[in-house]
Amino acid sequence: MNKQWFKEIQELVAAGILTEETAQNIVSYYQLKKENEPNRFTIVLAILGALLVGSGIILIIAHNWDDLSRLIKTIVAFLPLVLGQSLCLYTLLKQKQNAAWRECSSVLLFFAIGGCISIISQVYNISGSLTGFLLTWILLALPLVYLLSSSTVALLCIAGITWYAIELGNFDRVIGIPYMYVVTMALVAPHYYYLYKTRPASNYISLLNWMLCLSLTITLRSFITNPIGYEWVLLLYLVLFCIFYYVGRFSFFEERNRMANSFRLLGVSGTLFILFLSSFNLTWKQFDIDEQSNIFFILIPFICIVCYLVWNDFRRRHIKMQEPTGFSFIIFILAIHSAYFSVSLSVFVVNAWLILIAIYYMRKGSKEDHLGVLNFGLSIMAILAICRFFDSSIDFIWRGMFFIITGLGFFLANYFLLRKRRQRHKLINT
Amino acid sequence: MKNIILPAFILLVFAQWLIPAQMIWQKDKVSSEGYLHRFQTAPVDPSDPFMGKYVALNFKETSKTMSHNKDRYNGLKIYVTFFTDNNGYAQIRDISRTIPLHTKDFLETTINYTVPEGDSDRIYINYPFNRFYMEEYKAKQAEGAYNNRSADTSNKTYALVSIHEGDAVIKDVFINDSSITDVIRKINSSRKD
Repeated sequence: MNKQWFKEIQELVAAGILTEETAQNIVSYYQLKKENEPNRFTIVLAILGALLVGSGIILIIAHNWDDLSRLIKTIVAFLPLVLGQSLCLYTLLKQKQNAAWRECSSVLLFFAIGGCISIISQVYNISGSLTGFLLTWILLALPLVYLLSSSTVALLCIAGITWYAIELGNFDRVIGIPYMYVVTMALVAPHYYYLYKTRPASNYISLLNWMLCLSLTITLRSFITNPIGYEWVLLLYLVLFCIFYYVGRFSFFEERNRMANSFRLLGVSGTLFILFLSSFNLTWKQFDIDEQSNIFFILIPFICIVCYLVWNDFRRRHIKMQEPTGFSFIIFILAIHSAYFSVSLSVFVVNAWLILIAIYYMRKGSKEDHLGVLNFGLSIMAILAICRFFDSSIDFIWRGMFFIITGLGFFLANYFLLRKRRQRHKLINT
Repeated sequence: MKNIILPAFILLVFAQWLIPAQMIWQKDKVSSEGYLHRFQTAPVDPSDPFMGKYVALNFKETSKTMSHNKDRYNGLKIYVTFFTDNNGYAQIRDISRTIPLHTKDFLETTINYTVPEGDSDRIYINYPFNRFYMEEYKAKQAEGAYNNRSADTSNKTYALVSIHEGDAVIKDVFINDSSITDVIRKINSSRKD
């Protein structure tokens, strides 16, 4: 227990606010709680050690020892696997309750599986595909998530399957749609649900959230065949970010630390990024879609999901003024359709929407007396001003005016908010 | 639930052994029962994050002209049969979408890309045996050895590949009928002398 905290309890006893008995009860409660909690630092160190040893195995194996006979090399290939499996077996039999042992041994086995397949591929000159290798590796390691209740292996499996999806449908060509990505994510989902039910405050939930958001953002592109018509791809991503945004507004995520709410952070930043990108004339070039593309088969369910989330958010909150960020996908659909008549109209719609979002956050910051939110709104305005600085189609005079107004906005808004605060403090003091 | 964890783990251990073991068994079978072909090569030396250093093999004979077919696309699974030319190197005999029935000497692979040639198409195929693994330092030397010899067009470089029922194993890479491993060994011993 924190020494400072203990001193404060003694102070409360001395002041007669707490009885001696209650103070003793409080101290013993927290001491017992601390004893029952696993030591996070030990777990982190153990996992880090296992990751380093695992990576070391991969590098040593990568050396490819030519002087050894094929039999010896095959035995060497299986050695890390046997070691990892033995450690996991020991953990299952003797250290099942010890999180450090569970995570450490399963991470080692995870790397040993990859190492074993790699060295066998070298020894027998099996070229194979990277996608096949990654998929075999992950499917052989995935049961460890449940058998040893290892969240680190769950994270590694998501990272691996993301790589697999990138390899299968990278940015230049689509070799195939990574259906196994969906299967693997579905196989990891029960573990996430288990953590959500049993340890909702766990750091692993936050890490899995971040991994999930990043993985979905990276791999979504791999599912689109014939991605001609980039505005539609941008719309698909915008809908994904709006989904993230509304998921981030669920009470479970909102109650968490702001940095732990990956859905909200990535939802807002991703939405703004796409809007800024679309605020340029240059982006609106290729909005005719390829007939063979499957983009609508993905886009329509995504729009249904986001519409449900919007409805759900309205129903739960009963507030008049909703944040406009989450509605950006509707504006973007309008912008795409107006691009068929005039590209300038689409660009105007996106820019006007960004200004509206900026004003909303500025107003909200001012109303809630929150400097962070106020400056976030002003930053959106500033970035928009910088974007327009590079737009040669706008006259210098208008660009200059926009910069001056934004700059003044920063100065005045902060000044008035701070003055309002000082006046309130004075009132409270008097 | 607790009772099934240990048997499930043992099953997993078995699967983790089975996959690499099956890889070995499969490749051994192809190596011993397969038909040998010599593919003319042009090696370069990249590295792979997992699988160490290897000599990457670019093959000279990678395409064949076939009649136009609109159903062919990049990445399509195909079956390729070979014949040996007068110089002793493998040449593509036929490319089909179905398994050849009368021979076990065929390779399963995919179309890399297609180039239209009048009424026909030139089909470029992917070879699934494009890596020859060597020790980290030797792979670098192998690249040097190849580069020295490739300047002289009279040098012959080829990969000896065993093919059996769609699968293939690269047995060795040769520079002028000497194994690349022996070439490097000779270079190293001459340096020591």
